[in-house]
Amino acid sequence: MSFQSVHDLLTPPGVVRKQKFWDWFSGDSLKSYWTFANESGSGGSGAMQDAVNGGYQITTDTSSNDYSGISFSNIANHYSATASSFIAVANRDSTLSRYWAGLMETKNGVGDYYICDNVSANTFYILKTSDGGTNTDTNTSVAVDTTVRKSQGISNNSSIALWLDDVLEAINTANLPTTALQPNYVVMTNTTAAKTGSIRYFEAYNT
Amino acid sequence: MVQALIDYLNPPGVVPLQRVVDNFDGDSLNERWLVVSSIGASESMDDAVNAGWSASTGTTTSSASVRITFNSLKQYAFDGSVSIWVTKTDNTANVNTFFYGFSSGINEFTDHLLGILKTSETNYVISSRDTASNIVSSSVARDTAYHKHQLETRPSSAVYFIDDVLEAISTTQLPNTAQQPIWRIRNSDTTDIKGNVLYMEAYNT
Repeated sequence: MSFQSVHDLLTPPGVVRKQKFWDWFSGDSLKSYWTFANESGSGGSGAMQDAVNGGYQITTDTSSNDYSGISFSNIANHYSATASSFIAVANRDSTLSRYWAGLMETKNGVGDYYICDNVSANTFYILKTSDGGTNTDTNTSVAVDTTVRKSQGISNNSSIALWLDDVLEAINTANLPTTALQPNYVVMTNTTAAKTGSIRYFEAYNT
Repeated sequence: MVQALIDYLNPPGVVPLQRVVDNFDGDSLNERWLVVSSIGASESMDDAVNAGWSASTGTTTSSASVRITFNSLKQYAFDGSVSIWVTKTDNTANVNTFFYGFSSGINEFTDHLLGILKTSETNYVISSRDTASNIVSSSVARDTAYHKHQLETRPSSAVYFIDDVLEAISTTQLPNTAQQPIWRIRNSDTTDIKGNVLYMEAYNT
């Protein structure tokens, strides 16, 4: 079966398409709908990478727990807390660091969200959900690492699921977000040195 | 129904590799491209049906050119990648070189895999380059029509499809460094020649 429109490829007949976007992070510069920000520390930076499969790389400042990220700058919370999905293909590049990817109410991690959390201080990747800042963390079976992985979060009215590399790994039913969300990818250092993380793909859509 | 675009493009359990897609639509060229133009040359989105983005050499100088690249950010493998271009030129007589594909640099003199139209060749050709260029002709005569040009770097060959038909294979002088997408039009005299791009996609395999 062939499709002549991307709309019809991704949307069933008779269904009006909802909000959706994707980004491949390839080219000379980050697309302008993203905003890079240093959320803690002032010396972080981001740049497209001159490397095969390199995507976009974020480098943090050098104080412990400094973090920097990209988001829609709190002005485009297009994604439903209870009927949406995100897909991120990302990693962090070394130990003593952290990245999270997913959908958040605010770009600095305050408020509602559901994300994939890869922090070197924990044993496993985590599904982290938050309702107004009160969060629930659920371990997956995948040990934290620096490998590029595909994470997908899917929300509905009663639960949020996290898939890693297309395997269902965790489900949260408590402290689920309730407010509209925006895409977010953040890298944090957990030591007194700059750390990096890279993202190769991000997709989000309402269901 | 699969709702995620990525799941149409990637088998389950396989982490997606680098990819880019550009439809060359809208008010201005996407910020992913770096444009370099000669004096008198120009580029803009084209206000016509199925015109995409276009570049013109102008009449100021001969060997005037317009090229677009990723500013030497080389995210595509020399031995496992694909680039697809839907593009054309409006003049096959006064064109020095009109090419599209991958290069490690900003012209045809660095490692590359390019599809090329030039007046010295009767047909579209594939050019792969390591220390020198290896040119292999296709069976498609150079013309002013849109074609889908697909160029593939493979571990031991470089392959050129035109309109989904395998047209040429190069097995020598294959590129051996990372690649970026590149498109360029250049005139051979002071004739204003124009090129259009409707679509471009690249991905690692």
